[in-house]
Amino acid sequence: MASSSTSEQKKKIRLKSADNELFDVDEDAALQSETIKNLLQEISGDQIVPLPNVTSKILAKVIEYCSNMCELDPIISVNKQWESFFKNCDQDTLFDTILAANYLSIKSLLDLTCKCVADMMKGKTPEEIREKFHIVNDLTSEEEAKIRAEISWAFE
Amino acid sequence: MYYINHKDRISKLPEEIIHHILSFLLIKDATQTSVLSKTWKSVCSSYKIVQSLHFDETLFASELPLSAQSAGQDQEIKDKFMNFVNNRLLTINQQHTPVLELTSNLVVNNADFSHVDRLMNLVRQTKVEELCIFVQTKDFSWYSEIRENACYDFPYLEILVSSKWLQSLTVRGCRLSSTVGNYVVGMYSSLKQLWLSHVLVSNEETISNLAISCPLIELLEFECCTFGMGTLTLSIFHKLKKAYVEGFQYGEIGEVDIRECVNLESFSCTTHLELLFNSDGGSNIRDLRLVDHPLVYGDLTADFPLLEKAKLVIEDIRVDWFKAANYHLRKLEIEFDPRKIYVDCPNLRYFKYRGSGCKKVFIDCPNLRELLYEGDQVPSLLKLNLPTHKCLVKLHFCLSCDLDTSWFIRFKVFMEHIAGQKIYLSIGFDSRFDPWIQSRIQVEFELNEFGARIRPSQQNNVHLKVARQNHLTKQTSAAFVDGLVWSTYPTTLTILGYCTGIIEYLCKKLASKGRDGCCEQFCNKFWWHNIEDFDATSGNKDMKENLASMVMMHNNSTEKSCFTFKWRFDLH
Repeated sequence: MASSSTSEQKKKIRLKSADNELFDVDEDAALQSETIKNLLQEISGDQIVPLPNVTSKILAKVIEYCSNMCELDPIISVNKQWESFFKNCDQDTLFDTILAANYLSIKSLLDLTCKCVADMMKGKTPEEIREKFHIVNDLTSEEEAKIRAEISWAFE
Repeated sequence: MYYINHKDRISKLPEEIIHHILSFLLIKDATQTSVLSKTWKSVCSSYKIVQSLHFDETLFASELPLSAQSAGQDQEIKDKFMNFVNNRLLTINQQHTPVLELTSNLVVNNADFSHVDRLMNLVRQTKVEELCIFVQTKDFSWYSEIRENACYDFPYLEILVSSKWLQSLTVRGCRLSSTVGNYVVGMYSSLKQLWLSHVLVSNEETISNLAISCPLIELLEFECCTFGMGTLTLSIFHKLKKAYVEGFQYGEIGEVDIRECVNLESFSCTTHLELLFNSDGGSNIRDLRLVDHPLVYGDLTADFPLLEKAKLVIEDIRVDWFKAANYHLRKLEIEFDPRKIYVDCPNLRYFKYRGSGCKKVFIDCPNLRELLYEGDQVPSLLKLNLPTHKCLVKLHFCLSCDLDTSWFIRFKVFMEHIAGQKIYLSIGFDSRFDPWIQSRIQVEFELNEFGARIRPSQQNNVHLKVARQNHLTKQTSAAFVDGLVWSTYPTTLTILGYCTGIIEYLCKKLASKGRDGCCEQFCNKFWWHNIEDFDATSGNKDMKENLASMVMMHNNSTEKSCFTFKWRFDLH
């Protein structure tokens, strides 16, 4: 993905997505993932790192994020840009990225994306949250009333 | 349908990821998600939170076995308490468990604040949303000023800035000093509500420190605080919606400045302090509660155009008039003694007046639902525009003067003004007088005097209550009952304890009803002539046929005596 001209001197890691696409990534960007770090210790240096749980579309985003984090820009402004990206992307991308960040164990990305989801829920009523995330309410009205009574302190 | 493409992705996430998402929400918001669906119910039930933590040093000491409480072991108890607190908070902090409410009540001996500091350090690392800290020194008292040299310097800047989750902070018995703590530029607190009770506010800088570090503050309360400055300026809290200055405030404070508080919607000041406010109608206050601010009492309309709820109390100062003509006003309570009251509020639902009584009352409130009047005078001039049959009128007269026929006539005219409403009327003599003075009160009612000849008013929904009139002599009791029933014609009359004279007279009259033979002829009609039927009960017992023993029953039990009357007004 997007990489600067100096990247040629840097060591590259080759990643393979679930749909068998290959990505060459700067080592310091790839090492933000604890999972890749661990995998690299298991396999010998020049082998391809297989990531069977991440599609190429999402992996491309994750790599872009990790490369951004390695750049010299102040992290805060980079974070803001990513925050606004995840706030505006479709829910499939957002949740796939959460799953990828979780699988690849990239804490800052997991925090960022989960916080985005939390922000989407903030200040909304249960009905609005259901609508936002297409959650089907499978509780009977009696069951729902019972839960509401149990946690009435949370509705104060 | 449109949402066929929209899959529920969030509920399919692994539980620990949903928990991670919930950890970015406030506890109440996170807990609310358990009503979303069955999945969320189960996910929420495994999401760990602590709803309430309560560390009370005095309670802790009292729960220890007696042997541990013997003298000289104060320090040992303190250590045990701190160990307990330490262990509990360390576990919670290690697991990053969010805490909704943390209350801590600490006792300080000999100005040794080391354990308070230790607890504060732990609290700073806790993910707590509502924090309440009370540091009790030996000479702390709820009834007096907090002493400067003996109180704990609450490290408010550190506490405020270190927790991203703090929503509400209550501090009691501490000092907020401007010199303590390091303010970190660019670090802001999430705090929305700050309650200070018996707190020493060192100076203006303290307040401005608070305002700068807590830009989100919406609610601020000062209860019995001590101030090191003369003016409390609230406009520096830009988002302030509610401000309360409750109870006596000590120190140099003389005025509260709420000018330019553009977001202030609710303001209460229940102590005598000068109030500076925008008098050009620029105020956005909707809920106002004031005690002792004569400035405000002239005209409520111009100063607070958006007012919806107001309670105004003033003691020992007589005001000539009071006027409220606020379009939005829905609830009005006043407790003072203007000679005239004008209330012209089209949307007023509730109006309560309490005072010694005013002479002239004008009320034009076509949507009023409840009118309460507590006074010792019957207004002489009354103009009322109330919705017919929809308003509940509660009147309580606490009389302190002699009553004569003209008083009852005035009272009758007053009652006619409010006829048609459901009226609850309770009447009694001022109990502040001692029995000797009470027994001197004269009550006279002569039917032939003045206009008492005029026909009885046809009230049909008056519920009269009388209590504790034991001091009335037989003669005054009779005049009191005659005058009162004649001027009100109550549907029900309830008599509570100590009214022997009144019960005696009523029973006598009711028993002889129809036997004095004048009911069918033209004559001055006393009230009993207009009775078509009545019921009498004592407690739950029907006493209609047994009126003679009703007086006994009244004297020997705490049950109330009730009379229900059916009146007819078509005699002549």
